[in-house]
Amino acid sequence: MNDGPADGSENSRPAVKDDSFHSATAPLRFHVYVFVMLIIPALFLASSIPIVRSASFPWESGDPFLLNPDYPFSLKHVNCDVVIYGDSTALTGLDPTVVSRATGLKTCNIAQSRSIVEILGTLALDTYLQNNAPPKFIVMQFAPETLSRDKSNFFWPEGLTLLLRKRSVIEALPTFIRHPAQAYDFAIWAIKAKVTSFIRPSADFASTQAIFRSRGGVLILPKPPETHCVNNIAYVQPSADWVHRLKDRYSSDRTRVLINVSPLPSCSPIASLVAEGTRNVTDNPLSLYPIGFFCDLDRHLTLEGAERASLELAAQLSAGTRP
Amino acid sequence: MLFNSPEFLFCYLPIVLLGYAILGKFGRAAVVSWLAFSSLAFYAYWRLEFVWLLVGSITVNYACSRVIWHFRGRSKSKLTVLTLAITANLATLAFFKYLFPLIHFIDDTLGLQAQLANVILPLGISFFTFTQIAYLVDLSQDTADPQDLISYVLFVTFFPHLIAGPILHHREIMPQFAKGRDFQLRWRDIALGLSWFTLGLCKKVLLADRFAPYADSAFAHTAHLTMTGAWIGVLNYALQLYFDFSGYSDMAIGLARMFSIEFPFNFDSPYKATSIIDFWSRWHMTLTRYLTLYLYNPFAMWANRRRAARGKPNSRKALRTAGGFGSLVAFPTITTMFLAGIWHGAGLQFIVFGVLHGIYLTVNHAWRIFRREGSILSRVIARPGVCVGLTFLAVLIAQVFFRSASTRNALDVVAALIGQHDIGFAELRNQPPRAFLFVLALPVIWGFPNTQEILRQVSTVRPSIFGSGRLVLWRPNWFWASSLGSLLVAVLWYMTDTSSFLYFQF
Repeated sequence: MNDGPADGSENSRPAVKDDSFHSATAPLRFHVYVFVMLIIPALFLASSIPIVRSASFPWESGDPFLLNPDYPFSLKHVNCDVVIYGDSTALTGLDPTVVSRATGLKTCNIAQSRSIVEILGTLALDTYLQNNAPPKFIVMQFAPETLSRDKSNFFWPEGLTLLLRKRSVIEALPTFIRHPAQAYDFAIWAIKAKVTSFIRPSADFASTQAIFRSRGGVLILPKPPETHCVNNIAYVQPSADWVHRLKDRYSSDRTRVLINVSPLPSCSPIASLVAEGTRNVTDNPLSLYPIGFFCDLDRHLTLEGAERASLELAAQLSAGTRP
Repeated sequence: MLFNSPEFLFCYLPIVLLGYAILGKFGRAAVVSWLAFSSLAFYAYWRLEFVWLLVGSITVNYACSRVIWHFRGRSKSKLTVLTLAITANLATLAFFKYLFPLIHFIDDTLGLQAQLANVILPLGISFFTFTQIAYLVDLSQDTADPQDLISYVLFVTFFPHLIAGPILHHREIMPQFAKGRDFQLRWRDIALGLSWFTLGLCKKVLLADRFAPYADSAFAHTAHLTMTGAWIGVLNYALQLYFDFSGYSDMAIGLARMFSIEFPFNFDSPYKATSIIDFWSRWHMTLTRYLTLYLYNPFAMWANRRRAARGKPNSRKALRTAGGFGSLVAFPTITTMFLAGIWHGAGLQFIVFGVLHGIYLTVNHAWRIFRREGSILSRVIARPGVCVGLTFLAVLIAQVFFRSASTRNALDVVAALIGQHDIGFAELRNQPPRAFLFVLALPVIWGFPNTQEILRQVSTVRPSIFGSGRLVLWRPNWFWASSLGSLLVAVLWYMTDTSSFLYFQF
């Protein structure tokens, strides 16, 4: 009689351990073995720190938002009348030369990508204000999702890069410990970028860089116009408290602060919700543009789109300067 | 929380090990409580609300175990409580696992198009339910001892096995948590456990997830599969499933070993099996043991008694008669595997998978009993290449049903496999080279020692086509430490796009 549905002859093979190998070779002490085994991946992950801090990494990363991470910190005594700050929608959507031409006000754009804003807060703006005279206007523009303060499922390569470049490892450590998955993804991303840069040349951002320099800080991505909406991020209510706190913090007798929501394509599925949700929160109404004005993720504008958004801002500023 | 996630590797595991090391100085109660708490936290990380289901299940079953123990010597009362407990467990399982799929099936079949709710399947519900049922059954039969609450909680929830097994038997685990043992971290066990875990992680991240896209692609378009595409998909799936689940089992065994807890093996080179009977003694071994102990044996015993009551013999000779074979072998085997199929999921394809294996096993038993020794067919099938190949082929066909979204899809794949659709030679050129990685992987599976053999956890290493296999046996030396450390680097490289484990859905 069989013992079960699978009473194979091999079934009863005993699980007797073979300890003889201890004497057969020159074994490491077990704690040295564990140390050697773990130090290799630990060093591998740690290698991302010098990689990220190297001078060439912003170019090697292939990330256009890292092309000019030090720009806001390099502006000293430029004393702009209008300082544009915010996330990547401001960086890619507001052209200082257009605003200057339309308003006669000297304009700088020191916006950074959202992840830098999330990680380093307003460090770039604070540094600018320390090194320059107070501006007449600070214009902060954010995408709807940045206004919402919802950070779930958000990957922060640019922010963590700048954190490691601007702060010591000890200072950066708490952020990495609080977000282990993000820290791991970031380390692998940085190492992969470095390895990739050895294998093939980095993406050509020459035109992007040329526009950035000639137009005082607007970053136009080297991408063709979009033909349809692709971004399906769910709508989350903007955080009015955060917006008001931000405004109070930077407003003064000499400086007026405007906090704007970035334009969306008219095909955006959350357009009506954003328009409604930001009505009493931001200083501008939501603008809807044709999808062809966008070149990336329904958020980042083409040169043509940036010109239109900049003219809208100029009109808003002109209205604000009238007696 | 996945074993192959940064949260687990860089936060959870180091914290639990550190807590174990510190609390180990305060004795058993502190360590067992810490591990039980950590395991519940591990489960809560997935969805906090389902911790209450797990806690409820443990509370009810523990209470039943105390009542059963209280009624020892009074078999009728014990049986009543046991029946109630099993019913409650199976009802919970049925609610979460089968009720809504069944309602949806009826809705689809009848075309009612009703707006039906759905329910999320709690992770590991099958595993923690069956573990507890087995304990209650054994307790009622006086083959298990009563446990204090915290030990029982840890037995059920210990995080390495909580989500997808191995299915533990209380007799092999409870003594390891018992009083009298030293609850200190042992470097030897950490070294072995870490090595075991790393090999499992490599199986999952470096192998299973590489095969997955080609399997997924084939099974997503079953109606348009060519013969070539079907074989590529089915072979990739066979390797994905094996490396995924055996990788998970290796990780679980390795994790437990870091705490000096020994888990039973769950895989033993199943694709080297020389028969289907041999296959089930190597594939998901703890499930096979569970099925044998708690389904097959009771069915076989019932059939034996029934025949005896009718005055029919149950001897070895009786097995050679059609009636004897049918009631003593075919009936318990097919019934057991039918239920095993249902356990794997709510869907006709899982039932077909189970019944198919039941038929395979029955044919295998029939072959053993009725074959003519020395015949040409016997000699041909006994050749290693033939019997391993035939077994693998049979397993592949059953896996088509296991993987497919429906029986219709599975039949499409089977039809494609046997050339009912286009042959599709062009796919040999159109598929990327990675789709043919199985050509390299299969000889490794058939030729190399398995994880427990590599780690010297069995007394003998079976000879392979690559010789004795001695060259790849683990030693705690510089070579192995640096090699496994380098493999961990490769895992980290690929882990960013790693998927969940296949057996989480059960």
